[in-house]
Amino acid sequence: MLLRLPSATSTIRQCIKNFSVAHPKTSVLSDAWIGVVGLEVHAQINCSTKIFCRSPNQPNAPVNTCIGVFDTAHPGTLPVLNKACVEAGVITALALNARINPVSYFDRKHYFYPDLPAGYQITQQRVALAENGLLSFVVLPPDGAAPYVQQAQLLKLQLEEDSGKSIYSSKLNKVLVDLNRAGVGLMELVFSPCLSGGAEAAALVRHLGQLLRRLGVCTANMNEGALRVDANVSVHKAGSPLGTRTEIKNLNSIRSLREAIEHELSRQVAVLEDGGVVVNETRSFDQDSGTTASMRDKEGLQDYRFMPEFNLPPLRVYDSGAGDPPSSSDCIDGTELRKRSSSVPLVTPELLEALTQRCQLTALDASALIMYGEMCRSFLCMVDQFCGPGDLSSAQANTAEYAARLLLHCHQHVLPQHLQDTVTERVDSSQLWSCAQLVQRNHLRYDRAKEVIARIALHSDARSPQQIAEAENWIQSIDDAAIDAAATEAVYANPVLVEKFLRREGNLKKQQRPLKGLVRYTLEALRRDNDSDVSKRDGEVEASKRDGEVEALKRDGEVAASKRDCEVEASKRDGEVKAPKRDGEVEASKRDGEIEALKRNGEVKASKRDGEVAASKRDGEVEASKRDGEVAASKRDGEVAASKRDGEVEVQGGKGPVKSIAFYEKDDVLTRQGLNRLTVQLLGKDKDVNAIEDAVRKAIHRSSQKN
Amino acid sequence: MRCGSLPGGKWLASGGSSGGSAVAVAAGMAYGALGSDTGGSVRNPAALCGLVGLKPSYGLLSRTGLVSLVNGMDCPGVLARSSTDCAALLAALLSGGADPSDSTNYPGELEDMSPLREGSVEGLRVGVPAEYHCAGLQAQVLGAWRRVADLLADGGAQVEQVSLPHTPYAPSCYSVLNTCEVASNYTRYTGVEYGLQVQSDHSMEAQYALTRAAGLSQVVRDRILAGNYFLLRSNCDVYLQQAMKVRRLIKQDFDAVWRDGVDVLLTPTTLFSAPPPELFMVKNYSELTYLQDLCTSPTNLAGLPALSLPVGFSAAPSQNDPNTNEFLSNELQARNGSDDNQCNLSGTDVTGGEQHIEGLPLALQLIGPYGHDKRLLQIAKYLEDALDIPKLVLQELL
Repeated sequence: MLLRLPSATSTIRQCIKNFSVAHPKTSVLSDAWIGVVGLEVHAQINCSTKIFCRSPNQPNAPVNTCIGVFDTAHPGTLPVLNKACVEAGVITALALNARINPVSYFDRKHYFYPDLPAGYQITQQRVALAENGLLSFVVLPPDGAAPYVQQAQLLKLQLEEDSGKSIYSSKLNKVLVDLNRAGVGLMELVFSPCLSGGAEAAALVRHLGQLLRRLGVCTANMNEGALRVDANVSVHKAGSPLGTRTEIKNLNSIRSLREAIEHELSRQVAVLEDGGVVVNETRSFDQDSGTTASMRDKEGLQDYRFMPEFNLPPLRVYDSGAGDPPSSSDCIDGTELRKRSSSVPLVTPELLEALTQRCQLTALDASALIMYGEMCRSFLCMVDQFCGPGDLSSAQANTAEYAARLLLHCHQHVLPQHLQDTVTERVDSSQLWSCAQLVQRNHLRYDRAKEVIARIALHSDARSPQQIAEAENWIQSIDDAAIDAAATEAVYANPVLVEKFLRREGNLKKQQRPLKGLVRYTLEALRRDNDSDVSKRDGEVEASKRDGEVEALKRDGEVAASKRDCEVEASKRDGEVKAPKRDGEVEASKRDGEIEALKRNGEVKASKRDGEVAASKRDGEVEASKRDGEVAASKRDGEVAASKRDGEVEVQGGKGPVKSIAFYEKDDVLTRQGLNRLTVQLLGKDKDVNAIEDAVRKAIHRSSQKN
Repeated sequence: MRCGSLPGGKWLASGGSSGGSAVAVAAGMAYGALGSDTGGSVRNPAALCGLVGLKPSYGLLSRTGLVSLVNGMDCPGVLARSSTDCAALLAALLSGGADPSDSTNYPGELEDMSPLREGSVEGLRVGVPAEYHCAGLQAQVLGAWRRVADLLADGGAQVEQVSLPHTPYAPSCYSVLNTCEVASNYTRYTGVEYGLQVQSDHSMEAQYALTRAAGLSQVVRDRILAGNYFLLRSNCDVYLQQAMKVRRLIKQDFDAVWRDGVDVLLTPTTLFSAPPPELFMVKNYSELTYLQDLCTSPTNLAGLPALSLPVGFSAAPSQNDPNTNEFLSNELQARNGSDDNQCNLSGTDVTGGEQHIEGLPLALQLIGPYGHDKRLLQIAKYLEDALDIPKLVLQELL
């Protein structure tokens, strides 16, 4: 009565064949030594109650509030097995292609400790729930070498209860006990000692954590102790028998797991090379010093005096699909649970190669995507469908990468747990690909693309990503000329920032601040541009209309013309015209096309301080200039453009600037997110901040060359 | 239990360990009582106090709230003045249905709750296991055993001798299983969560040791020590595993008998009627306890229902009995002589122990197949009626 996926067995064999080839070494050891690492992983079962009683399982509850009479081992209380915990174990075992034992047993493991009130832990020592599984995973070597696939045999998967927590108070000279965790269900997964070092161990645990999280059986948060790892480590020389092993206990992060193993391997080699002997012992890892230290002799006096737990009848798992009859009404049916255990693909070298070589995904993306069989398959199909059989162009590879990330994002963060396996049904491959293309072509910001995909996946939005993005006004202007012009304008208007930027040449970090400042000025400029777009498109802006100005301009066809001509600066400044004319407070006087200072509420101080004039032009003034036919004139003869190139004239305008100029001064660090937000705030739609940054750099470059 | 009718108000042991329950019922303080039967602790006092004591099939009654001694054998049991009372109490206990907090509780469809009927034993096949006719069996008990077997045969039952060949191994098997589980079940008495706590500034381990030394009796400490020894990695196969195998053999003995068509087994409950308390003060307490459990523990090992019922009273000593008081004098001698000497209670030392007290209850045990608890009560009722054993009649309502 073996519960095994028939299709999987042949794949396993295939897989094992593939593994007969040697793997690149990832260990720190010199060539003569071979490290052997076996892991025992304790995974807390994600279940609302404990494994042998009805006390709640709440990891963050106040101390000693999740306990009942059974947890405190009161006489007369008996364990009752939690069905959900068994199901979690069976689901996990099936996902690891393990053999489910039709009958397994519970045993008591004895030791005295205050956080173990009964004096024994109920576990499965004689016959575990499942045996003989297989986990294959992608190893990312720390030295940046090519990723490869490694596998570990799951020797057994057993159910057991967790202990409470002891807290040592040196001040009180007392041990304080929190029993909230006592009795929480654990799966202990014992893997064969087949790993060579810390990187492989880290990869196994990372992969296992993702798998458990995905199955919904464990949160796999190592920092909360939901996943705890013990590592058995030994070294030997090729051709000689395995060395004596030591056990490193309670490693609670992937990093400390990797470091502890690497340190222990080198320690053992050092001991052996000095002619010493490795002692079989339990060691602890000190995260601060990065070293391991002896805790206690393992094989010495500790004898757990295992005995059967007579209070729990044998655990029977039957397989209705194989025609096995249930032994009782609420028995666990493996066939039913198989439906709930999403099939986890074997990670094969071929699959990894397809993702990293052909699709040129990063090792990290590939190792994440490879976790999800159906998604991975449909991803590869999509790439074939849109790129054909040949090699991918760099644009295609780029698109594929975005597609992969969007898919993973959607799977992991957008869809609720129970829908996660349906992601490939919910997001059509052509939708996904075109969305990724939008990102790749700079039409859509990546975070907006995530939104688009989320809508498609969650709300079955049938529109194309392009349509959704357009409707949301997320499509980025890719008018490079407009951006360049705005950047140039910003550079001329802000010599101080430019000078700061140039002075800090060689210090990218310090350059950020002036650079971001310039980006903001550029955005301001673009905003004005945008406003004109909007008002034109919508034909609204009542204020302007009331003045008849916009119409006039439009009638003149000037704005359109100027834009078409790429007389960008001019047209943009002209764009200010569209700014609602509200108060007319601003006095604007243009003298000979040079400095134009506009005082409004005394806020222009800043601009003045800079010695360059950033003058806010508001309303009335524009009217004036337009009425004067200046704009037209300047455009016609290119005067404005010329004067600007000289850095003499700067006109700032719009409704926002007053506020935002003050904002520039105060804002210390401008983050990418901040800029993105500002972009949306100012422009009402997305622009690629990267592109703007590039444009600013180019503008600075140009201006510095001129000077 | 002090018997006022005896010379000098002599004390007699009530049996145990549920002796208190038995005395309360026998004294008319209670209509019936619960006891717990791990190796015979309900049937033994029932036998010595002249009551009906039922150890139900393992799992029939929930163990929730019962302080664990040996989880694989503990059974809540019922003590009552008659099989009718006992059946009524059992029906009440079963009326709640299955207990979800005891995974070994299986009331199933085992029991029908109807009151006992007047019945006959016509055609009933009664087995008399030869192995229970053992050294140490009191002559009066043996006599009662014969009489009741004849009575059943007279009633139309087919009485035959059967064999349960592994019965002699039951006490040692029981001893290993008992001590192992006691060692495990008593690890929780550390004084950390509840109960006596002896403070120690030295260390946590010292506090454990002092607390347990102060709170657990010598008998319990002995069992814990033995049990932990049996459970050591190097010993587990030799003791615990072996005991579990023997347990299986003992159960198979019973299975074979039922397969042959036997309906019920008739055996003594105890080897002797109520002994004087001095018997329990001798040094080798455990050995005596196991000897007492000789007839009762096999059913605990096999999980079967067993019922002890009074079948008569001891007669006055016969004039030509040469062993007057030899038993007791031997015991006391051994006790006073040298504490270091183990007194040997096996074999004929006990055999000689005739009580010479008139009117002490004599009891026999009925053993049935798993789940046949009700049937045992039915047969007990038949015997009660046929033997016409005098019962305590309560004058007033309790």
